[in-house]
Amino acid sequence: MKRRTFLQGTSLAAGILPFLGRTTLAQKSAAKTLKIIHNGNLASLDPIWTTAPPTKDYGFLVFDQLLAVDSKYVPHPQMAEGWTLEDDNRTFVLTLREGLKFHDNEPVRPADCVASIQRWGARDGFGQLTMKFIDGFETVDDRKFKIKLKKPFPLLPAALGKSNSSQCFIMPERMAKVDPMKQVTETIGSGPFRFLNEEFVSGAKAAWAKFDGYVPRKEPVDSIAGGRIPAVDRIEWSFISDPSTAMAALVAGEQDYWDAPTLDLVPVMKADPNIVVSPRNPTGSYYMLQLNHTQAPFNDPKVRQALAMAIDQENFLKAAVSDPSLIKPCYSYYGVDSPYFSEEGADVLKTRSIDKAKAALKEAGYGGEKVVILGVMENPTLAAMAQIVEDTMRRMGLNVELVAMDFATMAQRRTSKGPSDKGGWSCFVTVWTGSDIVNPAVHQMLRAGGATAWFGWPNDPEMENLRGKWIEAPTEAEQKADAAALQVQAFKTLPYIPLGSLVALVAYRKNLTGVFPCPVAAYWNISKS
Amino acid sequence: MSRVDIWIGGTLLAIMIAIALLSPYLVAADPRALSPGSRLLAPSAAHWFGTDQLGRDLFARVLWGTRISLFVGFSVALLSSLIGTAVGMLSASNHQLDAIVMRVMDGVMSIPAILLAIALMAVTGGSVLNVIVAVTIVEIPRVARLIRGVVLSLREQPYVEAAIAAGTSHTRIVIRHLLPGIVPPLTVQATFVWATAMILEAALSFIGAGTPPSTPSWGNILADARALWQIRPTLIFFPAGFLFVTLLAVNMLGDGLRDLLDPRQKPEG
Amino acid sequence: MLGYVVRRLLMAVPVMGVVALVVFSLLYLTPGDPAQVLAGDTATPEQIAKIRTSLGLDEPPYLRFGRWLWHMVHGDLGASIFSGESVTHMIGQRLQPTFSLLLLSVVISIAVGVPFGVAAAARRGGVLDHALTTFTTLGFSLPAFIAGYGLAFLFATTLKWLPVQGFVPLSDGLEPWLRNLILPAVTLSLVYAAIIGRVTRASMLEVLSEDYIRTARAKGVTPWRILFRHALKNAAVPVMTIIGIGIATLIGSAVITENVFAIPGIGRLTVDAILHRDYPIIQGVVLLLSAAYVLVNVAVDLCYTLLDPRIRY
Repeated sequence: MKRRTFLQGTSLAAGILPFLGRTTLAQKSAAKTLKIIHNGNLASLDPIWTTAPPTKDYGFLVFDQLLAVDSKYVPHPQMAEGWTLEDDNRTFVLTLREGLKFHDNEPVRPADCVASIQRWGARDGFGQLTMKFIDGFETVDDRKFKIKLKKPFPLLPAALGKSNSSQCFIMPERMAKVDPMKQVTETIGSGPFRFLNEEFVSGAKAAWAKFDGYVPRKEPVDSIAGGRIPAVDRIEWSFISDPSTAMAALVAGEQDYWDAPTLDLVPVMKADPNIVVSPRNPTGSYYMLQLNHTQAPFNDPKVRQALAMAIDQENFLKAAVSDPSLIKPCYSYYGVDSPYFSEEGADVLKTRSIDKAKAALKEAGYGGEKVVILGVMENPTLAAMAQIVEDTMRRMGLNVELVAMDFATMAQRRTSKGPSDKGGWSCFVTVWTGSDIVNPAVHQMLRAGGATAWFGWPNDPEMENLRGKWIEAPTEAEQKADAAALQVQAFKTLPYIPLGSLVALVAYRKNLTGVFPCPVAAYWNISKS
Repeated sequence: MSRVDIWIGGTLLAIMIAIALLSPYLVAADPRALSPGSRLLAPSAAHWFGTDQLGRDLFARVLWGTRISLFVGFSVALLSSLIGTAVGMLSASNHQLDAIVMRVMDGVMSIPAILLAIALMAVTGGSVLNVIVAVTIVEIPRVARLIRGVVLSLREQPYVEAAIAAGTSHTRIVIRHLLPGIVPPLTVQATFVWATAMILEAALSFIGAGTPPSTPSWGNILADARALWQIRPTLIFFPAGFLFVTLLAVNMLGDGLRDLLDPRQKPEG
Repeated sequence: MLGYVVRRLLMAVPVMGVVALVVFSLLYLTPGDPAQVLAGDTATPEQIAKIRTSLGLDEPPYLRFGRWLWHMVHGDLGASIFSGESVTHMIGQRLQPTFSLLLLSVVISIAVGVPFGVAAAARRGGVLDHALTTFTTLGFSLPAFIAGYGLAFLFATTLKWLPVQGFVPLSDGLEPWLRNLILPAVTLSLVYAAIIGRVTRASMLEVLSEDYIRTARAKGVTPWRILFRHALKNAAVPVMTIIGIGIATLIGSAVITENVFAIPGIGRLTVDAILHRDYPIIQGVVLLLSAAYVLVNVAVDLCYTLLDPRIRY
């Protein structure tokens, strides 16, 4: 090209550039916005107040944790530089890393941490357990504080660093001092992303911007442990409840990531070369048939055992998806990725015979009492499973009725301890993630303290005894043994009947990098090219 | 012209009614039989319309669904038309009454059908009756307004004034002069109400306030199949097709009947 | 006339009051406790009881209603049980999308429905007439979500002419606002245009067989003039009524369209609120709806007097 033309061209370009500038900049910042399709509505902005998944995802973006567990559920320091034990393991000393700041640029101080632990301990199950062991707190200096324990509590790091809800998120002291029975109104945390309150439309969209003052750890990511590096400038959530629209938006490139794709639509997305569909959450979704232990017929352990004989996990899981690779039966009370996973004691669940169930039911002396299944129709998988429950129960000879309702009605009805024909209930299907059932401390549904247990109120002092032993177990080997014994007992009492698990997938566009396996929807480390 | 409309419309509707009444004999498969291993199959010799997401035979479900769908659609259309027409005519007959009745109708219109249905669920449980009552209540004000509007303008027609002056009884005026004017827009509105009832029924079963999940209706087959149309379009195609044919029949019948009833209509020549 | 309008608007007040009471009562009877849903799966009964108290849910219903009414009269619609945000603020955020969608749909439906109806009536029994009957029946029997998916699949996914979902406020530009609204507005209009078309046709047929039309034809008035100047004007009352009713129906059907196209409008807000039993939002939205219906109906009734001077109030 002749020099003159080149120069002319350059000056022409220079003339045009200011006009292009805006578009180019807009394109540049658009390239660094991660657009996520979220199925669930973000209503509450307080992860201690509610365990709802969207709020949990919000929590992980805006807040940070003192400790965090890795993919083997081993706790590592996160906000903490490290920890030490003193006084015969009765004092837990935590030192915060340098330079940690909240989004309002205030430094993170031990007072914030102490108040946050107390607020978390007021609501969360594992937190409440932890608080029973805690005698008090002591601030040593700007970055160091001590947790004084009544007796050694080796589970403390696992509690502080756990990945299932409610996590022990660190908030500014003023937020943490808000009554745990009320929601916090501010959105200031010390996590990798700042919440953009002015752009929030509850139920429609939410947005975050990278927090420039965030100091990530240097280690690579490993589940929720490791460096939580914010690799994009903005994150935008759009709430698209219609699965066809969500898929179309992903395919068209209007969105980058779908956090909970409808499993039946996966083949369509897999066929698209621009989309990656993969299991990101190694723990999957675990389905359970919760039983009411206070009313006939399931107040009779023999009837419960008969039911377990009739349940064929494959039947339930196949009702939800056609793709066999997504179906993972689980004959255990722990998740497949839990260190306590085993099939000990699970023989009753492997019987899978309607005839044997019928016989066992007769032997138990079942008198035709009405079984009421609370069927929530909003979630198609749960709705499908509820219908399989009805079908299975009918075939084994139970007098069963499936009552369809919406979630709010079910939430109220399941608090009833009355007979099933007077506004009570017999069973319902529910779903949890693997990290919710990883060990006896977090596992709500393994509690068998009667009135203090979850809906269904299983009452088995032996199970409670074994749970207590696990909590106090001094060595890993003993922990494993106690957990196994608890499972064997659980298969006798049947607080609920495990229905197996489905692989949890995510779908995203090919141009995203850094998507790593994690039991929660973690959006750090992910970048767009 | 009107003869053709009546013949075609009438025949199609009769076929649908026959399907509704005879479905137990026309269909071998049990519409409620679950078979998760054979979910979402394409049409084949074993399953003429294929299977749904729980492995149930779609042909059986669509044919059995005719019962509920015709019953719900017809009940809602009939009840809301009758009550709405009565209210609308009453309203248009007297100025003071008009002001009050129409304001009440404005109020009733503001109540979302879904809320009504969920509230009713407390009383009757999720059932077909629930759907019929909730949808009828919501549709009455619309019919009432339509009829009122028509009567207000018809009332001023010279032949009506003449009839009043001549001392013709109110009943005769209503039947001979007002009804023929009301029937055309009413039939259109009634067909629309029928269609809305079906769609609303689908929306309600989705949240558990409608037809129980194992009972087939075109509405709840469509609701269940929403996310799956790209995988198995037959799930939408067949129930929507049946719905279309039914509505077309009702429309054509309505047109034909109106022509027959109206003394002033001459066949196009 | 002014007196009439003022009287009508004043009557809106008791209507809204009664509707508010009816909805409140309905909510009281409806099973489902927002405190339960709010507290989540892991809350204990004591915690839920505390939440109920802090939300004022255990007060006697007449007290709660009275309190709500008092605040409402002072312009305060309360706060969402779930998010704690002001109801007025939440509704305000959702108004533009729903209003934009409705406006565009009404315009499209009238622009398509009325001419089609007139043309079909003019050529009664002809091809166009039968085409209209078939298309309009298809319009109502096709559930809105199917039409929505179909249109989105064709124009957005396959042809890539329009976006799949979302809403862009008018302040961000006319073109993006319009581009995002076309598919949802057309989806919503399908049914509405169908019913307007059919009522127009039915009403026109009535009028076209009148004596004065035959007289006009005999006098040599052009067919165009007959159709529009004479016939349509007289056929307009039922058409106007259906447009008015249609706006009411559209507001209801907008829920499905908003869902399919992920438009953050009032429809979705209402359904979510009903499912969560978020009482203040439900009451606030219903109040808004009743005011809207009153206004729309006043407007339609006024139009009657313009179109047909014989109608008087």
